Parts: sequence; structure tokens; C-alpha cells
Amino acid sequence: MPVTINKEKCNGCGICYNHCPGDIFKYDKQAREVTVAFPEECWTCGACAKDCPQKAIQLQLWWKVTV
Amino acid sequence: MITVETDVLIIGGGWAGLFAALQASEEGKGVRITVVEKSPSIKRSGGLGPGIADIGLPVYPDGTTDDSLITYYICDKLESSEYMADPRVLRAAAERGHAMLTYLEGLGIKYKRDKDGRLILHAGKGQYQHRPYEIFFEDANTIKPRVAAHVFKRGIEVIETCMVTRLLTAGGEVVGAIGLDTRTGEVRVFRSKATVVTTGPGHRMYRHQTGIYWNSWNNPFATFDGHMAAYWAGAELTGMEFTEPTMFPKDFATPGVNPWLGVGGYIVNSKGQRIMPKYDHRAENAPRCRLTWAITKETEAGNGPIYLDLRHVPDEKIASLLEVLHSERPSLDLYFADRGLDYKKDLIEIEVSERYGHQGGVSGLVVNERCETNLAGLYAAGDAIGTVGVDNGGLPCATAALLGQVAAINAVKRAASIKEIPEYQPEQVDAEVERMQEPLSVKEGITWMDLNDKIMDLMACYAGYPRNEHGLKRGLERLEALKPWTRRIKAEDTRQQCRCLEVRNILEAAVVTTSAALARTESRLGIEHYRTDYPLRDDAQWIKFVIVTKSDDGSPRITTRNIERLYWGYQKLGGA
Repeated sequence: MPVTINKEKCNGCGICYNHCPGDIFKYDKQAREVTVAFPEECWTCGACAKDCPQKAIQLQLWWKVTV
Repeated sequence: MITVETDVLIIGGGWAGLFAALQASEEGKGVRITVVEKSPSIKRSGGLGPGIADIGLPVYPDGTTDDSLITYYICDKLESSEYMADPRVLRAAAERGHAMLTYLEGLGIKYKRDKDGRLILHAGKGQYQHRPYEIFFEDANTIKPRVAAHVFKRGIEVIETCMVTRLLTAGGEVVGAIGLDTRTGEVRVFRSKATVVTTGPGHRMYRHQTGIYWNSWNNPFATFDGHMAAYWAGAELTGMEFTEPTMFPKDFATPGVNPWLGVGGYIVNSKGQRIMPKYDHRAENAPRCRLTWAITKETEAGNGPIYLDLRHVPDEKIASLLEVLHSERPSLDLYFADRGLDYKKDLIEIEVSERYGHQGGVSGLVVNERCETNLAGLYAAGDAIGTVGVDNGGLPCATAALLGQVAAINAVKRAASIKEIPEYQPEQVDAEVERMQEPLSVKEGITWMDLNDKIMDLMACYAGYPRNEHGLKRGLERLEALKPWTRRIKAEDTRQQCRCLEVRNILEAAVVTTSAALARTESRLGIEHYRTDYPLRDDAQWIKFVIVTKSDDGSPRITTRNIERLYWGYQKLGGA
């Protein structure tokens, strides 16, 4: 998973959903919950991690890139 | 269906588009400006959304400029581009360069300066060490959001999550555009007095080295949308034969070349030899196309794998490098951590990346020094244009903003001269709405990814490196065979529908690219366009643009146009 959201730190503000250039998140505004809906379309630009005010987002590289 | 009326429509909210918007808002009161952006936010859209490390402007460390530096800047880019640029367009950008320095500061952007307040300038790719003009930004990953904030503050209309697919024309003029919301599928018709295309370059046309679909060197959501919308309206495209690869750390597509080499890194082969001095007098400061040529040739000669060597670079330079890299692409930190690599001890294996439809302005829409295209009412800037030359160092970042301003100035002039927004032709809207919906009504078909994969395979095979007439013709035949499949890509929702529409653009761009490559019977720009049947660069015959337009049956029509040899004498001095 290129992008993971730490549920404990996430406050459901939806900034990642609103900023992601690939629109890979889904946002349930009522429940204030963000999920990574299209992880395969993430290009690891890091915009979400940079813009998250709670620092709740972790980037991780695809396995193939790490070895 | 929603209709939006505006004076100046800017398609693409990336770096060029935002500067076009800001400039348009400064050109006069009461100008209605609309920026339409495919992604969810202009704060993070485009290739420079995540972060921008540097910009190349013709200024001295004390922030002044003079004619000789501006001339040098233009000549440097012309030479790096192997003359595939309109010198007048370059000049239009360069002449605004000094003003841009203070303009950016006016937007709250700061540069790295020494303790005396002078700009710290580096030499970037294609630049000579004794005439550096790369200026590094402070807080590099806050730059685009800062510019976007200004756009919002000025009350410029911003429409996000909207993919424009076609321009609207009437009487040979561009009168607007049509697109769809990428989340809801709702169609939007834009009516405008002047339209600016700033949709960026084109990715996903060639196979990615890593085999990972979305691991492309730059923003994988730029898929020739503006190129093809303009092409369908009758606009001229140029330079499509030049598809640009870069170098990156093995198995991971990412930007970062400029900073590594800018701090004095070497490119070495497996014998420990520094390779660049063999291939270019600027060594590691050579333009990108010379770097990829050198890596390719060394590998062919059996001297691979090829590595980046930073072990000799002083600690403080490494520290500044890491800061820059982290800001542009924090994922690069992860790569080094995952692989246990240390710049001080290890050689970093590198490779040549996938190709794409050129960053920086060698391939795309033809524009003149007023950023006008051949269609009345249509302007363009940024990576979507093809007459401003290669990406050498931080120059595309500069030319995108500078020409975004130029396009806006002229778009506003046009808008001011027109009383009413011209009418559009409803048949064009109906035809496009029908075309857009096709993927949703396909019952049994293939996925957009199947077709995109196939295009990538064919292009890597027939229109990559090296090229020859037989391969290019075979490539065209096989791309032609894919055309019926564009109507059999299936979408189950709006997101897939947009992906399908992107892939149709990629296929058309691939046909244009391959046709243009067939037309240019010489080699130029290293492996970007290398033909075994015409292996030499032929400046006697080929200081020309290969222009592609759409003929009535939809096939590409090729013409050539001489490139004006301005600044020719300066080039012969070798830029000293």
C-alpha cells in the first residue's frame, strides 16, 4: 500500500481527499472518515503526507522498488 | 449539463495555468477568468504540485540582469535544445525573467540566499558552470499551494475535478470547450472569448521501466488531453517525435537528476570511470538528452551498470541536496532507506527512464512569441507547447510561468476586443457528449488498462530507441489496428470513463508521435529521436519543426517549417 492513514491520528478533515492529484481517496463527510480507495493509482507524490495537518499519512514504496 | 461563461478560459491549473490566471487578473478590471483543472485541487496539481526545488531565471546573484545574460540564457537553451525551439518564443520568456524574480517574492516565495543576501545560483543541466542561473526556493513543497492561494484570493473562478476533452470551434475560431466532472460525470460546456491551454505534457505512452503502472517519472495524470483537444480543433502540434526519457535510481521513477548533478555528483560506469566528459564538454552539466545518450552508449559498450557517485561531495552540499530532494519527492528518502543506501559510501545505480511527451516545451502545441496558436482565440503555455525547447535545468519551470503570463496578456487583449462571447455549435456539443458516454455503454469489451498497456508496449517496441523506417511504419500499422478497440474499452463508472478518454488521447498522441518520427529523417536530441537509418544529426536539412495537423479523415498531416536562425552567431562562440 503506497499510502496508509493512521486512524488514530486522522481527524477526518478530508484535506487529503481534496488535494490528491490522482483523487485516490474516498471521503465520507458524515462519518468523517477517509479511506484509500484506489491505492494502485497512487504515484507517491507525497502531497497527502505533506498537507495532512495531523501527520497521519505514511508513504511506503511498492515492494518491487524496495529490493 | 452546466454552461460556464467566461472571458478567459484556462484549461489546466498547473504551474503555467496559475501564472496565466494571476496575470489575466492583473490585466484589467472586470475580466472574467476561469481555471478548469482535472484533478481535485490546483494546490497540488501538475508536475510541480508536490514541490518545486528550483527555477532558472536570467539573473545575477545580486538580482540584476543585463542583455548579455538574457542573450546567454536564450542561446544556452537553444543549444541544449539542438535548436528545436523558436528563438522569438524563448526571447519573449527570457525578457520577462528578471521581473519574475521579484514577482515570485511578491507572492510570498523566498529564495535561498547567502549571508550577504545574494542569491545562491547553481548550474543546472545544459548550463555552463560559469553562468549558472538555477535559483533554489525555500520551503519548496509549499510553493504551488502558495500560488494557488493567491488565485483563490483574487476571486478567479476555479473549477476542479473537471476533465476537458474537446475545444469548441465556430468559424475557425476557438469559442470554448467541453468537459466532464471526474467524480460525477456531469458535462460542462465552457463558453469563452479566449482560451489558454496549459494542460502539461503527456505520460503513459511508453512502458515504465519499473513495470509499475503509476510509477512514472512525472505526473501520470497528464495524458495529452490538451494536445488532443487542440489537435481535433485544428491546432498545429510540433516536436512530437521527441519523446524524452531521463535518468533515475534503478527501479524507481522519480525526479531528482538536477540536484544530484548540481551538487557535483559524477556519473560513473562499472569500471569506475566518469563517463560524461567523454560525451559532452559540459560533463555532468550537459542537457538531459546527453546524459541519457551517455548512459545508453556506455551500457551498449558493455560498461554498465551505470552509477551516480556522490561520495566526494562535501557534507554541507549533501545536506542541502537531501533537503531539496525531500521537498520535491519525499518518497526518494524511502528508496534510500529501504535499500540501505548512503551517499557517502555507496554508488547509486541509475538507469534510463520511460519516455514521455516532453517536459519543457519541445513537443506540443505550436505557439508564437505571443503564445498564440494557429487558431484564433487559442493560446497555450507550459509543457503543453512545443516551441520553447528542452528541459534544461529549472528552465521549464521558468518558461511555464513566464509564457503563462504572455498567453494571458494576449488572451485578455483578445477578450477585451470582443463584445459578446461567440456562439458555439450545439452539434459539436452533442457529438462530444455522445463520444464521452461511449465507454459507459460498452457491454463486452476490454479495460482501459488493457489498451493503455498495449499502446505502451507498441511504442516502446517501435518508436523508442532505436528507430528505423520499417519499425516506425510497422508501429503505425499496429497502432492503427488498435483504433477499433478505443470504442470497446469499457467503463463501469465515471472514474473509469475518464481513464478511457485519457487512453484515447494517448493512442492518438502515439500515432502523431510515430508519424512525426517517420517524417524526421535524421537523428537529434540523443536517444529521444535516434534513427539507425539516419544516424547523423543533419543541421543543413533539419533545423525545422515537424508540424502535425489533423486531416479530414482524422489521420495526421505532416508539414515542416524552417526554424528562424536568430542568435545563430552567438551559438558558434560556444556560449563562453
